[in-house]
Amino acid sequence: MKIKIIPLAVVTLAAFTFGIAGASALGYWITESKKEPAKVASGEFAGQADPADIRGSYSFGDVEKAFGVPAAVLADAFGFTDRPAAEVKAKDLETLYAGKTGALEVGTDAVRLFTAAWIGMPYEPEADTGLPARAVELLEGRALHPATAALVRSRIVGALPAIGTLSAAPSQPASPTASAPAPSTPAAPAPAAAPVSAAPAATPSAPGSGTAPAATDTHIAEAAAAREVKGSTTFGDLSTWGLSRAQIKEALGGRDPGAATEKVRDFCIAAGVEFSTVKAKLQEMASALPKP
Amino acid sequence: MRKTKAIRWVRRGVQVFFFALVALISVNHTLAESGKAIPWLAGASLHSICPFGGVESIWSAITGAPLVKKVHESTFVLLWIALGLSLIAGPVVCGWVCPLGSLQEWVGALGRKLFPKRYNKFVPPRLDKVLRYLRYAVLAIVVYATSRAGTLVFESWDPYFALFNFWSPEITLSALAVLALVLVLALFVERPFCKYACPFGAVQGVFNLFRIFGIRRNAPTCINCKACDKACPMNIEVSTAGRVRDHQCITCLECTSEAACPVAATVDLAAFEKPAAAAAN
Repeated sequence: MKIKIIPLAVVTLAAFTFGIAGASALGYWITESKKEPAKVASGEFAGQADPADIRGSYSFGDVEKAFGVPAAVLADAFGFTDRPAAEVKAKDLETLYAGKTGALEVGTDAVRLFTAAWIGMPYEPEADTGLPARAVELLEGRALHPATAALVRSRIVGALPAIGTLSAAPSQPASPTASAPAPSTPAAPAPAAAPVSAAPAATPSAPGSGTAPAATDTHIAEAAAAREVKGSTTFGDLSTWGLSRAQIKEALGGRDPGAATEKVRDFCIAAGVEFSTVKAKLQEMASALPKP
Repeated sequence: MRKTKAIRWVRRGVQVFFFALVALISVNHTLAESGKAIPWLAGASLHSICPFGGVESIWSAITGAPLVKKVHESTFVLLWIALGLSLIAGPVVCGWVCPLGSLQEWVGALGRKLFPKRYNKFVPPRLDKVLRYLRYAVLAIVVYATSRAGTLVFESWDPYFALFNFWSPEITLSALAVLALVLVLALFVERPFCKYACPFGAVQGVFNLFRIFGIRRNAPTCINCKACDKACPMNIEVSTAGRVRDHQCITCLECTSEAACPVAATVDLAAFEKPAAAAAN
């Protein structure tokens, strides 16, 4: 028995056509993430969806479906009012908060932290992850995991709101603005200006200023010593660590790096590149460098 | 002669079809970010239609762990289709479907014109023989590193990803460099990546050892003109083989009596007989 060229062409095309059609019919032809986060493998929360597995492509609707945190609450917490809450993606935070949060960064990891806090799970955020004051205010009254409550309080970007259960964390200093609640609602105007300033009497957050507690500065200093790439990392920092220009260029997808004083995050936003992707590549390179 | 040339265009037609399809899906995925995509294709990314993702995620699949990031169930569907075809006739996907293989062939056509006598003979045979096993090392490293990292570590070096994402911010310089190197080498050596580095080709090549249909040379009618050897992009000596079980055969059928071989029914893709049956004949 032989197979000639034309029959082999037909068999090949048919195999793919019917194979894909059959898989579709069985519901197995899935080309996108189902947005089903991994489960916690062990411990107190074993079997529950793990907030650490929230990715930048997750929409607030996906987070609601997987974790039960209402999309409207997430949109309110992070100041998104320009589109339906369920359509906002975690990675959209990077753009919205770019350059407005000082040394801290409000991005996908902030969604993870907020989600974990909302559902009462512990979560260890990245060293420079911050939460908008409104997000922290919304967590008031929630049954936070003790470890998460302390963390949340140390990561506030902007004004410190009045909080009840969170203030139970004894080591955190109270802010003069702590008594000013932030009455932000999903209908609050102008998201571009909203994120940090949405809270009235907000203190502009800058590195080492505003209401970011001293604990945050410690986090940042530790991050720098550990060569952690974060929102405030400049191209100069990368060079100081020992990354070559070629390596940085590679991480930037072939783009020439910016000036030494320019923040990598700002560069990425200006170039339309997803910072989290570049950050991951740079972090991988930095981690591979010999210890100082 | 005219018929022979026409029949060769059948495979090229299939190659062009798959190349265009993959390019369309990849471009469309980029457009989806700005909401301008063709709706029925919008969800598919290059990773979701690459069967090698299934190999990279095989450890996750076996252990029941979450799939490697960016890999979806569709990659396993394509992997099973590819392996099914391999079981029947060898690495059909390499010879007929893979866009990177096709592109190397097309660049190689230029190489044949530039070096009509030396093309595909630049690498010394002894070195070539050793290098042919390099792709198994690549396969082992990629699968191990992917299972450890939980991400597609090969992406940063993958010329296939670079080919269909060179406009994307996700692309790395290393992947572009590998793609450029492969295309330059293709001017001297036919399908250099397939021969020496492709981990998915390595997986499929193993099936050549036990595929149901394989390249079979009918010695009594063979005139020993070596036209089959010259036509083989993978430098396999078909003229000295009864059955081609070489792990590098890509089932392109260029050596067969429908294409290069001038004698009818002498080199074919035929069902391999069991050893006992062959001995009886």
